[in-house]
Amino acid sequence: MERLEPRVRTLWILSALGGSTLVGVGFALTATMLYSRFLSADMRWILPGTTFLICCFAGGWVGLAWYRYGRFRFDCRDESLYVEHGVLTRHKTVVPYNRLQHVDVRRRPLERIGGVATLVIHTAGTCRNQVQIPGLTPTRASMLQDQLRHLITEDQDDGPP
Amino acid sequence: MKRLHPATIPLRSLGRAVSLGFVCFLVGILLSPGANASTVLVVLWSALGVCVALLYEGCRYFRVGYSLTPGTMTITSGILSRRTREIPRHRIQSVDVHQTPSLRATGLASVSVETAGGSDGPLTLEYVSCEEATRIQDWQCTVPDRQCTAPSQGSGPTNDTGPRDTTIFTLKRTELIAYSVTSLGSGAVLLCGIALSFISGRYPQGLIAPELHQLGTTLPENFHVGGLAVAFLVTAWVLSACLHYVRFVGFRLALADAALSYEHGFCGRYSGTIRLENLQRITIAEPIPLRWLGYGSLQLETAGSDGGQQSTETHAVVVPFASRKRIDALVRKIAPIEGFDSGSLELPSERARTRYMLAYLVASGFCLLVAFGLSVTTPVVRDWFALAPAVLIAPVAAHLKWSNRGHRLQRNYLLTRDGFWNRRTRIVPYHRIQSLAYTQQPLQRRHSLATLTADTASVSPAIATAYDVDADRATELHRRIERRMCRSRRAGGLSTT
Repeated sequence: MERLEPRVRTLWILSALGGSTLVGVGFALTATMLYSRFLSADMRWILPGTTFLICCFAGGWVGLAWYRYGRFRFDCRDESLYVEHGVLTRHKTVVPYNRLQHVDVRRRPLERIGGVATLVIHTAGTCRNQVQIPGLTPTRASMLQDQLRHLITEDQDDGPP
Repeated sequence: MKRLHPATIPLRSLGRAVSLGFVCFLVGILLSPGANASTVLVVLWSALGVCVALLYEGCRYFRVGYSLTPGTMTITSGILSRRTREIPRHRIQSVDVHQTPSLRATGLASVSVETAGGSDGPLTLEYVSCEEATRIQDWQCTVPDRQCTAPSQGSGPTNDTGPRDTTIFTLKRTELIAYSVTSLGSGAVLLCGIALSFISGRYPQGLIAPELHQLGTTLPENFHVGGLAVAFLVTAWVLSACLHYVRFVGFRLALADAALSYEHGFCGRYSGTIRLENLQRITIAEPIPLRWLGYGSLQLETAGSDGGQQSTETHAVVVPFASRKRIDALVRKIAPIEGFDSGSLELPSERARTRYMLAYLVASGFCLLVAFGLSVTTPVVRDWFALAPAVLIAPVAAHLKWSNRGHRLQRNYLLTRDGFWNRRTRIVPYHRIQSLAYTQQPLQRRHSLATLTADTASVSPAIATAYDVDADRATELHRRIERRMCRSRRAGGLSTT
C-alpha cells in the first residue's frame, strides 16, 4: 500500500499550528471582552486559563494532523482503487476503475508552497462522489493521473454510468 | 430543426398571462387612487400583463426547436442567450409525457427528457402534439421502428410490429382510495388557506362585489376559531384526497422490450418510459401506520431523478400505494432477485442494539438532568420528572431501530433497509454502485462495528447504507461487493447501448 509524501505531514502540522493560533487569538479576545464586562474582579485567571485551553486545542489539532498522515494509505489494485484514511472516523473507500469519470490534479496555494498536489477522483455518485488523495508530489500525481486515465479508457465502454 | 406545435403560443401565453395578469391586476389595485379599485387602471394593467405574455411566448416559439437523429437529440432554446444541447440517445434516462386537462383537450403534451448530467433538471419541450410525443418516446427505446409505448386511448391502427408489452401492475380502486385518503397534498392546503381567508372576512374589500361581502358577514357569531380550524382541515383533506385520486386513477405499469412504461391520470395525463438498464435504485417505502396494515409504496429511480423527496413529481416511476405482497411480486418482475422477501434481510450486530440503547439512555438522562437543573434554578420548568418515561422508552426505541435495519447481498443486487417511522428498503444493482465506503466512527470502533455505504448516480443523496455491521463481516462484505462491482461490468452486464 502506498503512502503520502512525508513533507505533507509537516505542511499539515504547520497549518494546524497556524489555524489554532488564529482561533486562540480570537478566543482570547472574546474571553477578555466578556470577562471585562461581566466579572470585573478576577482578571489574573484569564490569561493562564485561556492559554491552557488554546494549548490543549492546538495540541489536539496537531496530533490529528500527525496521525492523519500515518493513517492515509492508498493502493491501485487490479480493478479498483482503494483509499484508506481518517483518524477519528475511519474510512475505507473502493472505486472500481470502470466507475471513474475523470481525474483531476489540484494544487491549492498552501500546497504549491509546500510542493505537493492533490489527486481528485470523480465518480458519478452523489454524496461521496469525490475521492481525494492529498500530499503527492506533482510528478507522482501526474503519473497516477495518466495511469488512471489509461485504465478508464481501456475499461469503459460507452455505456450509461 | 422541428418547431414546437403552433398552439403552444396561445396555451403558454394563457398560463403566463394569468400569472402575470394577476400580478398586474394587484398592482393596478394598489396604484388606484382612493380605497376603491379604479376599473380603468386595473383593466389597463391587466391588459398590459397579457400583452407582454403573448409577445414573450411568440418570440420564444420561434427560438425553440429540436431534432432527432438515430443517435442524438438536439434541443435549441433561449431567446437572447442561445443554447444548443445535444444528448446521445443512450444517455437519456427517461422520457416523461404530461398532459394537463387543457392540453388533453387540444391534443398536445409536454415532454420531459431526463439525463444524468444536467443540474438544471429535465429538459422539457412544451408543447408538442401527442403523436410527436409518442414518436419521441419510441425513438428513445432501444430498437428503432419498434414501438415500446402502449397505445393509449386508441391512437390509430398499429402496423405489424405492434407493441408487445405486458401489463405488470395496475392500481386497484381500493388501493387508490386508501392512498388518496392517507396522504395530504400541499396544494390543497394552500387552496384551502385562500378559501378560508375569504370566508373569515379578511379579504381585500375592493376585490369582492358588495353583495358577496354582505353574505360573508351574515355567518353566525359563534362560529369560533376552533370550528373554523376543523372545517379547514377537513376541507383540505377532502380536497387533497380528490386531487390524488384524479391524478393516479388508471395507473398502469407495462413492460416491453426491457423498457418500463407507466401511465395514469384522469384530467391531467402522465405517462413515460424508462429503460430497465437505466434503473439506479429501487426503494420500497413503508410509513408507520401503513406498514402495520401491510402496505407501502415503490419508487424506481434513474440517474436523472431527484430521489430525496417524498413527492411523487420527482421520481421516474412511482407506485404510490400497494400491498406488500404485490410490491414484492412487481419487484421480482422488474429486477430478477432470487428469493426476494422483505423479511429475509440480515440484521445488524447485536452490539449495535446495545449501542443504540446506551445512546438513547444517555440522551434522555441528559434531558432529565437539564430539566431538573432548570426546575431548581428557574421557575420555567416545574414537573421535571414528566420526562422520566423517556428513559423507559429508550430500550424499546433502540430495539425498534435495530430490528428495522438490515442488509443482504443477492447475486446481482444489494439490499439495505433502514428507518422505523418510514422504513425504506433499497435495492441497488452492483453495476450501478459508483463507490463503496466502509466507515467506522469512534464509538463504532469500540464495539467493533462498521457501516457500509454504496453510492449511486441519482441526483440527490442516493445511497444505500448497511448500518452497524460487525466489523469483520463488514470487511468481508466490502470485499465481496467490490468483486461483484468489478465483475458485473467486465462481463458486459446490462449496460449495453
